[in-house]
Amino acid sequence: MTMTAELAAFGPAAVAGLGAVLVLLIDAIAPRGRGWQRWLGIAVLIGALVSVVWIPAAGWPTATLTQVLQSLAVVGAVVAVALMGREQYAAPGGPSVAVALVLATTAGAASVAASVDVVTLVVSLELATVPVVALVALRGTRGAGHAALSLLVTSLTSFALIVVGAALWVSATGTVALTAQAWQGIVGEDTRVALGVLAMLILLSGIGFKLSLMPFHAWTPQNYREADVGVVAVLVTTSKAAALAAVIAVLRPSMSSVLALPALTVGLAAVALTTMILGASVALRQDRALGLVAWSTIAQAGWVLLPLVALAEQGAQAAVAYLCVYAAATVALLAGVAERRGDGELSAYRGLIRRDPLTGGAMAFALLVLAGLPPGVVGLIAKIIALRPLTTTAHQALPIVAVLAVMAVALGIAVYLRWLVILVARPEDTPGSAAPRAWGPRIVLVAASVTLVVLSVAPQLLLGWVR
Amino acid sequence: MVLTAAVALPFLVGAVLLGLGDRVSAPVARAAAGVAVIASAGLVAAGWYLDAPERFSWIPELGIDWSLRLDGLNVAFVLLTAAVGILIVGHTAYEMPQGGAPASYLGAVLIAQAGALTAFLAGDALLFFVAFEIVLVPMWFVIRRFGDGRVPEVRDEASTRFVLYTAVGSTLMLVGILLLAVRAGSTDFDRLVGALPGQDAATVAIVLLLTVGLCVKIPVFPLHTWLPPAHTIAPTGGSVLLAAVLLKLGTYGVIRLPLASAPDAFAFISPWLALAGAFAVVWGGLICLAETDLKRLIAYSSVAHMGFVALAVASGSSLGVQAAIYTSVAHGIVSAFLFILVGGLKHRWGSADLTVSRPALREVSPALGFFLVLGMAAGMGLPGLAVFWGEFLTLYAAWSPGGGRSQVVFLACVVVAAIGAALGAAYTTRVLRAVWVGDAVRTKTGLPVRHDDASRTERALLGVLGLALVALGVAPGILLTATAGVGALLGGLP
Repeated sequence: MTMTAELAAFGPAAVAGLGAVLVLLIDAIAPRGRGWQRWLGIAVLIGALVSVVWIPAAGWPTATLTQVLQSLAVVGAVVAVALMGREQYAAPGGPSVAVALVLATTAGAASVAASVDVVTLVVSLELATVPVVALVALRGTRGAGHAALSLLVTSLTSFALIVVGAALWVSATGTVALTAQAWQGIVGEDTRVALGVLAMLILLSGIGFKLSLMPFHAWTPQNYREADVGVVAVLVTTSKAAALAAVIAVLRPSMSSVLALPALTVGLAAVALTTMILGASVALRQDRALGLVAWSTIAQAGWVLLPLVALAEQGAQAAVAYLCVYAAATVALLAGVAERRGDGELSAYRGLIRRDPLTGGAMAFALLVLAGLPPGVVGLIAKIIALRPLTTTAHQALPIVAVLAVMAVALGIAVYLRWLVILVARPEDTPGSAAPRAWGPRIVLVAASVTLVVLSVAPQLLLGWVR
Repeated sequence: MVLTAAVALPFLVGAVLLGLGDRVSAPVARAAAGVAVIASAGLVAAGWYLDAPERFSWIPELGIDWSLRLDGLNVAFVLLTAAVGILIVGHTAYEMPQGGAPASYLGAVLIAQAGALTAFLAGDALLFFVAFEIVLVPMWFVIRRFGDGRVPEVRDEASTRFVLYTAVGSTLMLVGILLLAVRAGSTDFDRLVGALPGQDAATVAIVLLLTVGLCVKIPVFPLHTWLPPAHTIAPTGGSVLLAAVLLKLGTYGVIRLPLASAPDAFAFISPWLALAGAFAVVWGGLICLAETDLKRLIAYSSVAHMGFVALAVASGSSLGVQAAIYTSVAHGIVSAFLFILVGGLKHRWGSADLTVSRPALREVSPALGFFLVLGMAAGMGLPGLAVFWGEFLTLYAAWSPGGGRSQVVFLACVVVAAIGAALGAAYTTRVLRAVWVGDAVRTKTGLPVRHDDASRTERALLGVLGLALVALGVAPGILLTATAGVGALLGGLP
């Protein structure tokens, strides 16, 4: 790895971070201006996206996944800016603070994706998390306050865990670097390997909350219900990209190792299976749209983790591809929810596909992708690539994990079909109030759906990029 | 490109019809769907004539090629699927299912048919899996939306059960395919033939995953419990599609995947499959003796027929595979015939309850009565009609099973299945006595009898299917010649 490559990898983070400062500066100089914050924010994010492309791909094996995750974080931030509602922009501090916080969390996420040592990782993770807490809290409602508090407490506890894990990592390997070389240095010394595995497990438990893995998931439903839909979009995309980047960074040293790590494998598999099965089971009982999205997120987090259980580079690629598909589909759902502000009950979507074919159709397609059923082919391909690493490694127990995951597939289908039934049902006779047309959600909805449809026809576009 | 067009046409027309929904009138939708299915069948026939496999790179990352071709194993299934598509669209001229826009119904049926065609034509195991899954949602929609349960919860339960059972089965199959692909180094069906020799634990586990997954779809006892509610609730066209096409995906999959790729390991588990099949024949027959809903009775007779298919596949010889294909095609025709007939009766009667006394069909509607006798006779395996040869060949093949199989178990299965086949005669007479012979006195006592005999559509559809039953019953050589090469295709089966 060259120094320039490492610096270039932090380019997107720097652009987003400077953009946040710029937004606050302009606001301080000209506090009267209105409406420019969104556009400046989007311009900054486009700049960040351009700088992602500049990361030299050669000479750095992890560059592609870094690029994909940074792109996901940046695009997710654009979605968030477009989806955030009037209330969120009218919160204390006004639109400037809202946009600046989104840019700050993007900077943190992009920085996590570029980290290759524990120190940068810890700092970047905090930068990615704290602005989200603020975004939730700023909404000002009582529920949002509670949700923000719960998120804050979880993230502080996790921070403590991560610091302990980082310290253990340093004492085990004698370096802060999260690289294969660091791991190679201790292979053969049993105590240090055990300590290293312990460090990984503690680091992962600290990061797990951000990916909504059980048992660190409790904040998720609360925040999804109480926060603004745009902020939920941040949690679904930017925040998840940061979390997955961190998980991969922690696991990467062990990926090139020939050493079998049963403790790590079994631990990850247990968490992945519990999360996907319990998440889907609880999602079955949800009656509110965002409650269902929240528990579906938890279940899908298990699927994101599943391929990583194989502790192989192919698993990391599969996890990233899976996350992209999940994020695109969930963003489409959130855009549909944002169009119908205030209608939280699932029953409010009754017959939507007839009343509003565009929104209803897009949401139906997104649900099929999440369920992994054609015509949402890309969702099915995502399931295939998530299961594949479990079958390609020599580890005997992994195919059993794959068979257990089959249960989760059925549960997931039941969850999403429940909402789909409501969408395609005959609308009630009372003419539903036409939802006010907001441009932001509508553009996001169309863009996300087009992405999903294109990827369903040509999944290679995503898979070839992630490789 | 011919086969690709044969698949793409019904898919695209179906998607358009589904998208337009109630903005299209029933005749226009029917005309569009009719053109699509007929053109698709023509393209399939052209593809058979041209005999040119098609292959494009689709997802190189996973090694999935868009590869379609026709050979001795799938040609019967492909032609059956194409023909059933025409029948279902034609049947809407007699009865359009209630519950939503006609275009939505026809659109969903076309997409399901396109998915099934793709699955049968696929030359790649993962493409087969993806196509297998395409069928799920449209079929779920047809049962959920157009099913004839008066209570929505009943439709909901039947359709959800269908999707969940099938999805669990197909995902187990997916895990099996992925493991198979890793060890064989390919997902191409041609290269999978005989790819995993031997009976080591890992190979047996893979074969078990594939077989159990596909047995949900066939369905093989005791994984059949999704079938009766789905068949009973689905509209006539949906039941026909389910019985004549979708169940065959399971049979075809078992032949293509575990039997072809790991013959030794399949031989290891096949006694269990044979036992399940033989048991299903008796079980289905016994339930048919007691079942009071005619549509449900036909569904359970499907379970019995599929027991024969399982026994035939399990026997693992070249003749066994031919018998499985023969029984599948014959069952496809018989079940389409009976579901169209019973759907019509249910439409006239308001229910399909056998305990309600009704005027004798023989007196009231002689044409329907004749068709009922023909259909039930064919279903029980009367010589001279198609099913007979399927059952006969199955028992014959199981009498001398392929290599590595216990002779004793298979002989026992033959005896049990033969007894089960005799039950077919018993429930056939039961149905005919209840419906066809009927109570002549009551007919004269002024019950509200509507003397509506078979409509022109019904006569045409049942006539064609009846001719096919007789043709395959009199000249089994038609299908046996077409499938003669299966032994060689499967790597030289005995």
